[in-house]
Amino acid sequence: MRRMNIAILTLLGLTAISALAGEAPPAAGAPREFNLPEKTVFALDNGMRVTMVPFGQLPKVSMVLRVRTGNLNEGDETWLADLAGALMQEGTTSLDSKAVNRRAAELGGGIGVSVGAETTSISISSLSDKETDAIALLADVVRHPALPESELERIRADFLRNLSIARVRPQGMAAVALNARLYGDHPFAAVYPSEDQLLRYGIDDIRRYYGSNFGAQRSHLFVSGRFDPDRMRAAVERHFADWAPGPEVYIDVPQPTRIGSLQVVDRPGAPQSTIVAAIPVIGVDDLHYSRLMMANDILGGAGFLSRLFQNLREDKGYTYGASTSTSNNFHSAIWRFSADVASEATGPSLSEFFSELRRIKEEPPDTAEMDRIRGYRGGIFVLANASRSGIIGTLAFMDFHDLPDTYLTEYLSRLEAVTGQEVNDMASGQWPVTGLSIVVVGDRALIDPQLADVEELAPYLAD
Amino acid sequence: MMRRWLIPALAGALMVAGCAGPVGPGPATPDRGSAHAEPEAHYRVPVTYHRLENGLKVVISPDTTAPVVTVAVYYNVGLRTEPRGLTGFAHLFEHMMFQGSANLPKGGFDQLIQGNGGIIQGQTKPDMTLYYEVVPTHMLAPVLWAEADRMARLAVTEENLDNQRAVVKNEYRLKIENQPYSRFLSVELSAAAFENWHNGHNFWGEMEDLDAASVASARDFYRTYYAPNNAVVVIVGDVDPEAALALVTEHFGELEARPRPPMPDLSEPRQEKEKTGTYLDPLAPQPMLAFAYHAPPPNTEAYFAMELINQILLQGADSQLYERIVTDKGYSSFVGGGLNLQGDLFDAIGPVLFAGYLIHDLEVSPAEIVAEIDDVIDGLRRELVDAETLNRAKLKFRSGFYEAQGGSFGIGRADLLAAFALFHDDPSMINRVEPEMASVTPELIREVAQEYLRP
Repeated sequence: MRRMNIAILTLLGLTAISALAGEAPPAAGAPREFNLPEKTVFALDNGMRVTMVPFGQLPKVSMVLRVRTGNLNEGDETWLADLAGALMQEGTTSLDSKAVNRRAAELGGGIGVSVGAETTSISISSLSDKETDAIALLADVVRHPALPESELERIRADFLRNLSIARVRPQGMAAVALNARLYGDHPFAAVYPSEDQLLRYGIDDIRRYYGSNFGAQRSHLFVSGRFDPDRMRAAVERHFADWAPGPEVYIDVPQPTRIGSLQVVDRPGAPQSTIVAAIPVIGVDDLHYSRLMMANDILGGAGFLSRLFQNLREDKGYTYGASTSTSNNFHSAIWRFSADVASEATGPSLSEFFSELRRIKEEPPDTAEMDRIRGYRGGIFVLANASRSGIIGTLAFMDFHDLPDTYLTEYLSRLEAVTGQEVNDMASGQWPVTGLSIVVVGDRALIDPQLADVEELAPYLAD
Repeated sequence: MMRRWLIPALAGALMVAGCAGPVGPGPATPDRGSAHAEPEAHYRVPVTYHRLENGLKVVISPDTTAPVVTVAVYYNVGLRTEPRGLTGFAHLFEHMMFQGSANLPKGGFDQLIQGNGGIIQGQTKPDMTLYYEVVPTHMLAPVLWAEADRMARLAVTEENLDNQRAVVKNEYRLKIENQPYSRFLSVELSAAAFENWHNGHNFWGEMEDLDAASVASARDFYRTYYAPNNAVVVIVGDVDPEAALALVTEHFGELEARPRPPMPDLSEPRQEKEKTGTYLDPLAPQPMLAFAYHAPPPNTEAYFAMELINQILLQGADSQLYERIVTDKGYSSFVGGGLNLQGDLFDAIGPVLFAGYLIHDLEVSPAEIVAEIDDVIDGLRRELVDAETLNRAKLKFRSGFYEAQGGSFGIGRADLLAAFALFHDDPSMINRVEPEMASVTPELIREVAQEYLRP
């Protein structure tokens, strides 16, 4: 049993507002302590790990089994993991798919299998008096899927249909171009399979993928909500203790490129241009990650507070939203800027982006601006951990990236320590313009002339 | 990489049936026979309700789960209320509420709330416009002060209006114009199903109407609808109800009440014949089929039964349409839909649709799919629903209702309380939903299906 109480809100006073007219806001009250709920962590003999967190007042429990397998494990068989995940929802060796779905509904929730780049999550959310039955159903779905050949053609037809739709969304088109450029021949390079690929996968491929990637050693069960810990633990042991350990975790860390490029994808008649600019950066396990977070939040990661949002939306009206973010894979992280802008504002939007990038590298942000970011992160930290799914998300994230408890306990004090100079240094080191992989999806007839006017893009438009 | 986007023009088939009249005679006393789940002891939400002298409604609901508080201010004006010639105005005006007030110039509101650890949201729905903040508990007073400042002293300028007009146009391009199926589902379906202009017009606004919006029209709209007597303030979170009420009174108590014009007539004529329509979506690679029925009036006994019909037909992988269309027939990978797609179950006062939709292959004709949908729905009209199916529907509803109440840090609960206060003057309805739902009988389900899911 480990306990983590964090008095994070003592850091927060009332941070300054840059412009005030007339009357000032009333004083805020005294900040209260936020205590992360107590968690219980244990492992079964087969290597499966379990984290349980009692939380909240509503009579519900969320259970998520995270298995370390996903698109990373497919090799060049893109979406084989997704197809396997879909087929896992088509019944178990003892219950057909309708029976599974009805039973899940009787427990108060659906059962879902969600396939990600590096993990597959099998989840169910049940009413509190039915939680042990829910564990039993979850275990059945993950351990004894029927993977029925009879349903494969139907699921394949669904995938082909959904693929055709995904491919016409501008954000999907941008992701295809970006990932191919960033990741080369790593599995992350392929966002979508070809139709031919999808047509080739047979039931044996799916069963092979399941058989070689699922097992106790790769799995971690997270439970959060209102439940009886002793009964829950007993149920987990009853339904998972005899699961085979299975394969060890497979690691294949990509080496995304830091050689810049520009790709323009034509979408005739598009009313907006979808812009993405991305580059590999230090990850959450780096000692100085909080400096990157601060720089990112100032530039584009903190909603209305961020410079790009204020500039591109609130000042210029070029877009509905503009943001930057860092996404972490295992020992590999990508930072990106993204915005969907009016077609006629494509060039000007990119120029403003480069101008803001220059500013955050060269001018130290003032203290008031950094304090607002710290205030924002303090509050978001509480909110992010103030729900069943939020707590599970945080704990699963820390577990996946092997982060110590100090990641949580020192999260805000590290942010507090970041200086303006460190923000400049981090921005300069991590975000060189010449290292950005840039993709613009839009109407080339309208945007090509605009791109030619953007100085930073000149190296890519030489011929 | 070059791609051409020459996609065969595709049609979404659309069928609409049903009526908007009051439900026929319902059973006076619910049958609590064997076919019916015993209502279990349900979760109760603490609710206190007050009305200030200027008419402002105030709902406070304590919750000590985390040291955060949600402040929600809901106005009784929505997308359906905007005048002809000013389509899209209700939504555009919502954006203006973030553009500065007497004591908080543009950007100041964001800095005050987000800079102190909060999140901000605004949303325009058919019958209401809502604003909320979720903040650390100690920020309650500054947030109430800021909300009162923009309720009483909004600053609308030409420059800000032009800026947000451009932002709203980009929002439309992002969410509707540049995405397949969006316009079909969020504009065309209502336009085809409703007869009354208020219910069926393009809520996003025609571009020329957005261009015509002026500072004068914004001031006029603000004066007319953003009065304390046309609003409710809801506080959910780790607060003491008396202290919170005192703060609301301190900041909002002095605001002046203003007469509100009568609601426009939102009523729909009873529909006697099936209507169909198509919309060509240049971006859609596969056809989408949607259907809609006029639902019973919100928050009546028949409406609760309709929600259970929704659970039976459409919600979850155990639902009847999912089993038929997805599992048995393989026409689609999903059947989406529900009651009041433009909002939530309880946030409408005017006519509401019960709608469903799916995306299918070109090789399957809409008529084949419609025949299957009709066959499933016809079952509910002919037979009494069996006990197992009804109990499961009630259980799914209850579980989802808890989720809604607990979801998003108190926003879900605040949303329910605000709608019940605004439309029914009774936020404690939140605690009667479960027993109401539990008392729905198989007979009522069949009766509502017969009346509202008419072919």
